[in-house]
Amino acid sequence: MKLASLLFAGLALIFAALVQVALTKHAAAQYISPDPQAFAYGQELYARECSACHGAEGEGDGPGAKYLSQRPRNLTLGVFKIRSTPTGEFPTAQDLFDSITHGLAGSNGAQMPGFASLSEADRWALVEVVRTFAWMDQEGTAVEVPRRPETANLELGRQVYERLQCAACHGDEGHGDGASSLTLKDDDRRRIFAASLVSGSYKGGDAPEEIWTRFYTGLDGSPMPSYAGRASHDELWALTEYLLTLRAEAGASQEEKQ
Amino acid sequence: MIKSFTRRLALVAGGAALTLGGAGLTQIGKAYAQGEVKNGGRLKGVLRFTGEAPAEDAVSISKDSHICGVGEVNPNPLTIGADGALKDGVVALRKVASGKPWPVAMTQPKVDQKRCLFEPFVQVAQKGADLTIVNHDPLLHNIHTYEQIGRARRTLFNIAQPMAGQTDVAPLKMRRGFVVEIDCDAHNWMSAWIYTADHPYVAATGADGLFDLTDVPAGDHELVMWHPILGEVTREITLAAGETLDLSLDMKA
Ligand code: HEC
Ligand code: HEC
Repeated sequence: MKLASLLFAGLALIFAALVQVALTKHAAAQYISPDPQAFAYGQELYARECSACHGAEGEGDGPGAKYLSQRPRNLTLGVFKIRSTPTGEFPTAQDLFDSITHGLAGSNGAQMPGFASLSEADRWALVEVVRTFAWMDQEGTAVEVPRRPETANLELGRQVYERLQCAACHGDEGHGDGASSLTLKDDDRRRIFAASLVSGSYKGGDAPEEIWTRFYTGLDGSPMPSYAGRASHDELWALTEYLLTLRAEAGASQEEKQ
Repeated sequence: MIKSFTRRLALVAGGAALTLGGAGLTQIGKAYAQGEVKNGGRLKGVLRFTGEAPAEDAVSISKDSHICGVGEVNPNPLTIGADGALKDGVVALRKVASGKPWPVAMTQPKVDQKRCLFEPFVQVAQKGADLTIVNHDPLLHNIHTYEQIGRARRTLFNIAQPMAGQTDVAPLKMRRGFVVEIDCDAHNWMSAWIYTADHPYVAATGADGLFDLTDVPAGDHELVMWHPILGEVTREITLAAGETLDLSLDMKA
């Protein structure tokens, strides 16, 4: 292993130099420059913190996998749910960093724990490991989230929810019980339900911009499709505001009950 | 960790090639060289199904009956014609480094959604081509494409088309697989397939089960037969310069 690491470091340096030359020629190409030291360190971290679920080689087959209803992601397939990038594209390194920090907890189960307790440097080292498992030779390009308008047009938001037929999966009231929700399967061909838009947490975070990004880019690996370009920016923001009130109202009535 | 170590090297090398060539890691490897084929051969014949047909899968149309109709649909039918002719099968060569130019149709695959069914059910296309998708129905379909790699599948893209007349064009960014599975999560009986190749020596069969591959470079080839529910069968063939091979190919359940 020692010898391999040395050999690797040497080769990586040569390649890194090549990449550097190439990068100066093609500034547009996106490539996260490799850092061999962070990678070796990240591998140790991965073995300790992640391999029990994701498996030694990232194939989603660790010993803990069988206890989870949603399979730990097979990271080698390079498909990610939480992306700020268009459907079919790789996520950004920041997206991966955020997923590792917060985990993925939604109404389909809270099965990917967050690792906020690890240092930032540790989490970046893990990003590098995930990227390698996933054969990610490029970062995706994040979509631009338009500015949130000052006023919320909730009636328009409700109409957009209807017109875009979110209810087919999420149900009229957003409980995740639309007619199609009963027959959904994820990439692993396991049963999955449309998320509840009323209660529980979101896998990609609760901030308005995060919610906007989720339905705009979709959750690749799940049936949740991308709605990019399916309505105007104002309409998509109105939809976001509508989703926010669905949860806020449910939260309020929950408090009343207590 | 040895696997991830070698992958790491490949990735770094891939990154260099990526920035130099402007193509992703997925595209690395020798590209198919188009040109004139002198003294090529011809592979033609019929693909048949022999043996006992597997049990029919039936999914009931559980929603949107005003557009989708009623009753049951077999998402992946086995359609057998006269004399066992197999429809929706694919006959392809596995690897061809150079040969005839791409026919335009294979570089422009297209899928239509009409009355909650995909058309066509099976087609062939250039690996990595852009897929055009059209929704003709006044309701939500979501076009969800996957690359099959062994028994695993990975989403290529998933796009909502809530309105009639919507057209999208999206790339089939595949890795080492050849088969693209298409479904619509909103209607679980909808299913279609694209068999891709990195050369144009590939054909999908119609109701008569016939195939005809022309201008095939002479030599030894691996011949692949594929069908959505019958899977893949391969066999070796040898084609002499200028020769026409008339083949009778069989697939079983
Ligand atoms: C308790 C089991 C478990 C552990 C430990 C775990 N994961 Fe996960 N991980 C999962 C599950 C389950 C999913 C799939 C979640 C889903 O699809 O919603 C997942 C998904 C992911 C994803 C995909 C996120 C996306 O956007 O699709 C990444 C990346 C990831 N894990 C990285 C890690 C890393 C790095 C570690 C170690 C620091 C780790 N995981 C530890 C269970 C685990
Ligand atoms: C074809 C079915 C389908 C349709 C149509 C659909 N969704 Fe989803 N949606 C899902 C599924 C399934 C999930 C859960 C994915 C998971 O847990 O991995 C989901 C999850 C979500 C989430 C949670 C994201 C997170 O971070 O956890 C939001 C928000 C959402 N959908 C909004 C919408 C909106 C808004 C629309 C309409 C514009 C819509 N969805 C249409 C299937 C669908």
